Amino acid sequence: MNKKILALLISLALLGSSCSEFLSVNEVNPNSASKVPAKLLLPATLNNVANTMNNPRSFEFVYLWHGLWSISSGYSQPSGLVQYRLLNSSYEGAFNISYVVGQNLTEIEKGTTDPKDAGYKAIAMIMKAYIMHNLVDLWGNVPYSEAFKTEEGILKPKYDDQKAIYEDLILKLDAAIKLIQGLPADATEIPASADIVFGGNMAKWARFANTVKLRMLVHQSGMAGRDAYIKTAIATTASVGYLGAGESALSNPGYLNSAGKMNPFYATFYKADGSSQSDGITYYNAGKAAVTFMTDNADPRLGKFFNPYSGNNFAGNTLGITEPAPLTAANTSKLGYVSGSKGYMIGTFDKSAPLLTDFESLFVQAEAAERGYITGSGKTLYNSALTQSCIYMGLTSADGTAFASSEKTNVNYDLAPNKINLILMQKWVSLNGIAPVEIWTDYRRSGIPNFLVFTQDPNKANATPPVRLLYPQREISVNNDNVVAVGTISAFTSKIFWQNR
Amino acid sequence: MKKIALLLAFFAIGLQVLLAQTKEISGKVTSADDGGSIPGVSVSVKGTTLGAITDMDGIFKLKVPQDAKTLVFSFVGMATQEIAIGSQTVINVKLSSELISVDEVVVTAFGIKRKPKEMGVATAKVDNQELTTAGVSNVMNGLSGKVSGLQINTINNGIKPDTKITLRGNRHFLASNQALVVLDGVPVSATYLNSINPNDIDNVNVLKGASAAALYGNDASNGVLIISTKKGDKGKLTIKVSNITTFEQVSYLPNLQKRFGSGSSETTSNSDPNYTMWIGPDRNTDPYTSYENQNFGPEYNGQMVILGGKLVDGSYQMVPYTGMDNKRDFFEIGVSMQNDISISGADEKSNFYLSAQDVRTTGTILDDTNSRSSVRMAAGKKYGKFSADYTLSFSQTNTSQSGGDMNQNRPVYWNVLNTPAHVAIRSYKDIVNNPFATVDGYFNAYYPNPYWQIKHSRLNEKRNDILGSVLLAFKPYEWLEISNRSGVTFNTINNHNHKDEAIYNSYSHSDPWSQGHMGVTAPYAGNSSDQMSQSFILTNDLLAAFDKSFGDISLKGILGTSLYSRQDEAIFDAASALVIPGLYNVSNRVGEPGVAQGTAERNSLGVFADATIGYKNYAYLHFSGRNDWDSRLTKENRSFFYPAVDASVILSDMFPGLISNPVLSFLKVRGGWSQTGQIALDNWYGTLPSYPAAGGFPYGGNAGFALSTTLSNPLLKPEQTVEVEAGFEMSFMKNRIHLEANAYKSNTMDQTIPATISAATGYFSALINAGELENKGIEVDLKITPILSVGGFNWNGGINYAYMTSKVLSIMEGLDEIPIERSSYIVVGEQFPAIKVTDVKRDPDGHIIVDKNSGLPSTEPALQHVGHGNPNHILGVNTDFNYKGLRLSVLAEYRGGNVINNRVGNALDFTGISEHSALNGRQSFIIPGSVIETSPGVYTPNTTALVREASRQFWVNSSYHTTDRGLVTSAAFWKLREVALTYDVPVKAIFGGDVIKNAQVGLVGRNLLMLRPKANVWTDPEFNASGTTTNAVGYTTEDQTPPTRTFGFSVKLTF
Repeated sequence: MNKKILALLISLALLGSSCSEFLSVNEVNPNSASKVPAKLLLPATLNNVANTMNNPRSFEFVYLWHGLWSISSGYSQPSGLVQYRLLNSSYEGAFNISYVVGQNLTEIEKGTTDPKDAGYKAIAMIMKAYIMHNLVDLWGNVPYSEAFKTEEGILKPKYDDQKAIYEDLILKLDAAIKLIQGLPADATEIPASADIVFGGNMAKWARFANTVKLRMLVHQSGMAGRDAYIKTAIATTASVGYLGAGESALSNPGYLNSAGKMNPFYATFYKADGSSQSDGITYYNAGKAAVTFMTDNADPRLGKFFNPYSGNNFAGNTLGITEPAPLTAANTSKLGYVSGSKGYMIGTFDKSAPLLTDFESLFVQAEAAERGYITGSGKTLYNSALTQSCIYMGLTSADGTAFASSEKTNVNYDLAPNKINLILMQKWVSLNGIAPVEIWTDYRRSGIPNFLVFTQDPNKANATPPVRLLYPQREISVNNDNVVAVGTISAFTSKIFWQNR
Repeated sequence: MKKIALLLAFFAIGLQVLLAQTKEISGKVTSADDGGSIPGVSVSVKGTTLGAITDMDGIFKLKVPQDAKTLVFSFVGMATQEIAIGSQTVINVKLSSELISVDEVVVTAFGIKRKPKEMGVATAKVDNQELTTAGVSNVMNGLSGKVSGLQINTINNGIKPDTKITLRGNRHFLASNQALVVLDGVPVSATYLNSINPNDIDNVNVLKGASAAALYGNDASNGVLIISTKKGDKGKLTIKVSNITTFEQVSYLPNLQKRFGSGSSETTSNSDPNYTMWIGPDRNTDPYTSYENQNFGPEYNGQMVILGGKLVDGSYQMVPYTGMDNKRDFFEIGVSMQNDISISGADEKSNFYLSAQDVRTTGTILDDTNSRSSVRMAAGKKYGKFSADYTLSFSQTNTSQSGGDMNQNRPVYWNVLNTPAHVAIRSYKDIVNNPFATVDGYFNAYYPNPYWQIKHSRLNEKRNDILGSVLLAFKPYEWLEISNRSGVTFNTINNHNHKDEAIYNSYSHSDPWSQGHMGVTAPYAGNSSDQMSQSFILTNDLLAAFDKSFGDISLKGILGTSLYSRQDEAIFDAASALVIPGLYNVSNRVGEPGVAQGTAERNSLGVFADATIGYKNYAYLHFSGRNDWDSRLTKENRSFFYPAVDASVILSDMFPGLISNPVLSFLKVRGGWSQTGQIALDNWYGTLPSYPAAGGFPYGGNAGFALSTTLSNPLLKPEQTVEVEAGFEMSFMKNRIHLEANAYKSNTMDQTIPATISAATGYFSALINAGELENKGIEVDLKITPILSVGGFNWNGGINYAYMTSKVLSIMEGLDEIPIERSSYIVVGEQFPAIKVTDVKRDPDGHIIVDKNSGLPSTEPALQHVGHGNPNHILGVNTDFNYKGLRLSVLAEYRGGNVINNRVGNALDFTGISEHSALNGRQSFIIPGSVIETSPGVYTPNTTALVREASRQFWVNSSYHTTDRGLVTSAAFWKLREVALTYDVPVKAIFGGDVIKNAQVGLVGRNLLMLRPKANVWTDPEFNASGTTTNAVGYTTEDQTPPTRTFGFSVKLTF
């Protein structure tokens, strides 16, 4: 009997000794990694930013309000948009996703302490500045200094002053450029599979950083007494240069013709088998302001941005239109699309998604030159911008040159009475379907183009359109004290700091 | 003459033989306690079914065979007596009271058998007969309404009904609230109960509170169902064969209108000369639209109308414009055939049990089928101090159900509801030969023929379950037993789902009826997906049990260890665009396949001790303690202790004077306290950061990963439930009346919450321990046996009632509300889950505020709290009548106190077939009880503002339709759960009893009647669209088909 009890005790002891192994099975996750190198985080992060910026539904309000698109008469006009009735939940997606992307960028920054990996770190810093300045442009004061700090136990980040965020981002861009300039000779090469924007070309990243910086500084051009700051800031990195013709920042992870793996803009409208998505191509029509402007200017890009509704006839609607009666769906242009052709607005499943196009860079440079911020000819930069836009839309360089020299005052640099007005009008129409946040920002800071109708709905909530988005519902629910600390927010009066009109 | 003499002689002898074979025995049964006669005592000849029942004076008369040796006298609450007959013809018997017979035990954790009187906490037992009375094929259905505090929710209809089982309500916000199910000592998932043959079950012990279950450690906080399967009974070989055939029929459809036909503002083009476009005479309704799914057209008038449009060959169909009961016509009568055989036997040293069952069911939706085949074997053998028992069972379940449609992935029921009442839906069954039933020819431009969907969109599942256990015991001394039980459960679930390609001909594709026919966006590519998952669970429990008495003190102790190890694997593949029709294989596709794979493992170890100290057989004190180490939590937090204590005192034994009065015969008081824990991590690796492949990745050669948006928390702890309970048991009138009552309160703290956090942290949510939920309740069980006993007639009855309420005490700092799913919310200060819905604007008195011009309400931006989703009251009433082998048993159940959001009503209003949408004849009306705001905060009754768009605009677009408040009703119901009429055929008298020992035939019915509050015109409030795995309740949609009733017959033979 005693032997049996002994045997029992021994077996219990054996059980005990293997306990630690038995109980450690959940310390390694067999289904997903618990740590991932920058090389594998970066492509997902860049792709996520590109998806957010290029999902037309995320920023449809910009296209619809600014006369670029309209809603087909076959659908009811969304009351929130046509009457400016923004909710906290309206278009909050970009806010939430940007911070999730920011956390991944933070992980890249933290994981690249080796000076050889500074290239990754620089890209992460640049992209953070890119998403953060977009957040400021859309929401003003946002969490910044306390964001991405869960490790310090911060679950309710405070909101920082928007101007201070902008100024800090400028410094971060400077620092990133410096990191790139100081890369050691044996720096880790960033493969094209990781850098799905510039294929590891760090010089282009530096110019991209400098272009984002210039864009941010030009945003502030309307602010009183800001010129000295702007000029000084530009001067520190002027030698780096900006994205030039053919240097667009385009993201392409290797889009495939498969659900969930296509260009996000295209995927909103078409499925992998080529059939149309519901409420996509049938929902959005051409905007009247854009069609009229381009028709008046005999713009060769008109048929690329929009499809003729018949023959060579183009027409667009205004949002919330009541008088005259809206055009029927059959008599309105659709967004530009020809199956398999990249040079139309909708493009193809494998068309690269723009983060910042060369022609936008050239428009920004043209404006900066015109304002005396940088050296160079405004006209040359502007004409190059038009040409690059034409090329982007599937036309030729010759088409661009011819268009730039046409005798229209809204096209020809020399004939235009107001160069800034010209640059921003052509920028507005050129960025259609490409850079929605910039279109809105340019309008808010400049009021150009001045002929935009926004909406015709007589029941709109305010005479003038909103100047910002409202803080996301999620923030109201779980970070309310910090939202309240920002003060009362009105979609119509709480302007972004750079807006001075 | 000679022959006649012979014949007479033969008769005489035969008669003599017959006479010689029986004799009559009579006698009187009295109480040993007070000498009074006892009516209703069962007197039977041992080993036969021959028997009688004592009358009001305790007198019985019984004819017995000459060779009958023993009479058995039994009565509830009295010790059963066996009396040798010998040559006696008058047998008077004194029965002495005993609450429960010696053999009666409560099986608690790890198969520990305890006497009921030792139990300080509430338990209940349901035996096989109670369970299978109504011929259920699913164990869960057989338990409903039978135990106080046990709530079985059948959340959907269909051939594989999903059930959710809770004891004493919901203790956890987001972690599972399903009771732990232990089958022959092996913990199994609640879904496994669908795989068990109810006839194999000997009994189900229900440990209601956490106290009795604390020894199970993790998962025990929700209470435990301990299921024991049958073993062979001592005696001869027994063979049982049975057949139960039942029919299932849709019982309650929502209240529907049959007055107005199809129309929705569109006009019918492609019209035929025979057809004139017309609108209702009042011009309030929309014009008749031949291809429309919505029912806002003109009133039915019997004239012939075109249905759908012209086909490519120019043919078209004309039908009378007359409403029919076509929604009900759609549903089939489901048939379920259950065939069973079991063989069992036992002697002093060994026992065995073998069974096989085959269940085949067809559903109320055409082609829905479910079949289950199972075999089970159990055997045991004793060798002196050793004994060994094992069980092994295997079952295979095959299910095939219809899936979503090709266009909007809607369920079949939705497409039926969108079939106007003048469409004879059953005539479109032949989707091949009937040109008006094909995808091109079907009348409905927006929703497909449900019969197309039934044939071409299928969800198929094959599930295999193996369960085996081995129990080895060694009993060196009378007071010591060492036992080890090992259990293995292994199951595989293979899902093969597919939807066929829907190709429209070019005529349909061109939209000839020119109203956006769904063929325009065709082709709808076929797709298929497969999921194979398997789960392997190994358990091992090693126990040493002591049982010793020292004078007045008895001591029972248990020391044990418990090991649990589970490994899950799952593989998924999907082809979103098939190429070759009808070939459902992932290789048959264009584009990238969808693939996923997961593997997960978790282990836990526990050691425990359990002690019961008894004093003089009337006072008992019980302690248990267990420590667990669970791999799912980090080293620092994985060890957790679960203590429990309970006590009971049988006052009637302690103070015998108490029962000297003729009324009270038994009195026990009891109480218990326990603390249990539950690890609430769906992801067993949830304490680690995780970088899943980012959306879209890999893109060919490019891989990409992104940090999970849920912040991992290495500090997670188990949730803690502290429960206290107290109760008493009383018997009256010689135990004829038994009353049991409990009160309990449980507090579950440190709830695991995936709290939504500011996205600016870089994450969307974080798993945290926070919040407290308090549950309180009372349970009462009353049994009367018999209520009445006259001659051979016996009437028994019982009532079980549970009152439950809950209160969310806290969530986390700065947060007083979290949405769970659909209408369910966690709201501080309210019962859980709170139901919150959208509403129209109302004045302080609840009247709907309407616009003074349009008469229309507007939407209130804030959600309205309208009640809670779990019932406060559950009442089960059962009764049975017996007369000479004829038995009628009836079980009814009531639930109430909660509310339901009948979202299916939204679908009915949308399509315009709800009865109330037609009450005003589609004429302008004033919203009843509405008010107008004349100046801010001043409301006057609305007598003037008519809703002018009384038809489609109101029912489809108004705030009334887009808000849910109008669909919320009380979820109370009474259901006639079970009615069974059985008859024990006196086979001995007929066949002599050589071959057939017993035969029983019966009629069975389930859910024959349901009573609901008048306001609930929609569906069964027990249904729940959110499934069984979430705690969200109180929401129904068109995903649940209408409730059904089941009825049939059973034949059971014992050889």
